Amino acid sequence: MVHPESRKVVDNFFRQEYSKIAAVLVSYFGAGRIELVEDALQDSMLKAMRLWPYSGIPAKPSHWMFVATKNRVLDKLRREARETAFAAGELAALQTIEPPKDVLLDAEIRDSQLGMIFVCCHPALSPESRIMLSLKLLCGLGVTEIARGLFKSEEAVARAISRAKVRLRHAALSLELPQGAELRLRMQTVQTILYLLFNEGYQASRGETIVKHDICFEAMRLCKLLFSHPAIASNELRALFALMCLQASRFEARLETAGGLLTLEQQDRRLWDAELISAGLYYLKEATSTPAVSVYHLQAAIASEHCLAADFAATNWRKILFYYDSLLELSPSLAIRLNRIIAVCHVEGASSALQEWRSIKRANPQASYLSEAAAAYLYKKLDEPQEELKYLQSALPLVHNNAETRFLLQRCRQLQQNQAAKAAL
Amino acid sequence: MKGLAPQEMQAHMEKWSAWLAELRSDGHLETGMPLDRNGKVLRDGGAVVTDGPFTEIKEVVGGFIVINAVDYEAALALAQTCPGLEFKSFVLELRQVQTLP
Repeated sequence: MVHPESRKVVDNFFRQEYSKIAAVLVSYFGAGRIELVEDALQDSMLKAMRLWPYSGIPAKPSHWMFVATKNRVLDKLRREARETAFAAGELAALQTIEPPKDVLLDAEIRDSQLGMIFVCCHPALSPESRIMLSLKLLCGLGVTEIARGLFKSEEAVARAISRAKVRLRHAALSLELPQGAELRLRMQTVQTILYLLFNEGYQASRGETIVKHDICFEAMRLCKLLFSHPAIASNELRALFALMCLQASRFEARLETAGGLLTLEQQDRRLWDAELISAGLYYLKEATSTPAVSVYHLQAAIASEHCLAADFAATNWRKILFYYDSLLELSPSLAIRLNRIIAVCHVEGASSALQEWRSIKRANPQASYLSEAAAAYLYKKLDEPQEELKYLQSALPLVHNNAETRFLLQRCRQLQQNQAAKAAL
Repeated sequence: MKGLAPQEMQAHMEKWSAWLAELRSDGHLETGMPLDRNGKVLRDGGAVVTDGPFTEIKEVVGGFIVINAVDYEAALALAQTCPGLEFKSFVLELRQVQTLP
């Protein structure tokens, strides 16, 4: 009989259950059986999708989903056992698995999700497939969503994920948390992955924003999950979390209605999320309880300076420049040097920033989006529209993001119109 | 439907729930049930019984819904709002229950 009712499961229920159940079951069945667990999850979710509209939502939907998936895995294992010589004892032991309680931060779920983070960031995997696997297993995203988020084809994502699973099967790794020095070493990778995960989401464009911002919030959730564990918690993680909060606070303000992006200069600061800013400042303070400073500390400090300025003109560029200098000492990357140029421009003026840009360019002649866009910015400040246009145009083919492209095109058109108007005079 | 993301499955499920609830509140819904994919197939006068899933059949009957409508046209209009039709592979068959003339 049909019992349609108004009761609904919470938003993102399927997505959250996916990552929860995948983590718990993989911790029982092993990383070599991720595929099996995922197939079972897909089956039980399809079953729920077909059944629940008729039967109504079960009293304990999480429990239902867990049991349905577990039974499905066991069915498949039994079939496997019939075909191969699967140890009967192992199967009997698996039969007794009890579902975790209906609480999200249940210790078991937490520990297995932590284990899953380390699986997804396993050194045997390529950096790109680590991100994809994390999005799939830790965030519960589908292949289509991941492809959209990473600007890849669905086939490429599906291929990379299945390759990664094969790798994991052969790596025969344990799901135990690594200890001591090994843990600290692995944490570096985990932090990088969380940072990349967040950045993938941060390169937002309207229309795809929802998925993208979800990725950011997932990265934040996982980060928090990590530093809530006493053996893993570190000030570096807290600083990373602070950085994420501060960046996320500008989500709304940086999107313009036409789908482009707004610069810090153009954003309406009243749209910044005050709650995220104060969370970011709180965790940044927590993160400085010891004198050790990481790249995340410094980036969060830079973001906090922007958040604390009442308007763009009030930005404390001297402090920002100081943080960039310290950042360069820790990690002398080209991206940081180019970003630092903007701070130099506001402290010492555009001409000396341009000199610095030229010396960077001599050492790194290859054009990148960041270098061309930085030059365009400096020429804009110097009020040299022809040079600005030249660099905007060379930046354009180097962008892989719709919103960013629209942003550049808009400025190009504006400059061209100004030129035409001047010529007409 | 194999490649659906969890979020997409939830969204689709919610469309079905809303659709069924609307059919019921408008008085069109008599009954309905989804069908299990497994089952038995009887052939040759019942002499041949095989287990499902019915891989040899191209289309699997996923469920049925009994609705009341004044005529075929009205029933067709209701059927066309079925959320399953969002999927290209989904087929809906509309039949009238036979009654005595």
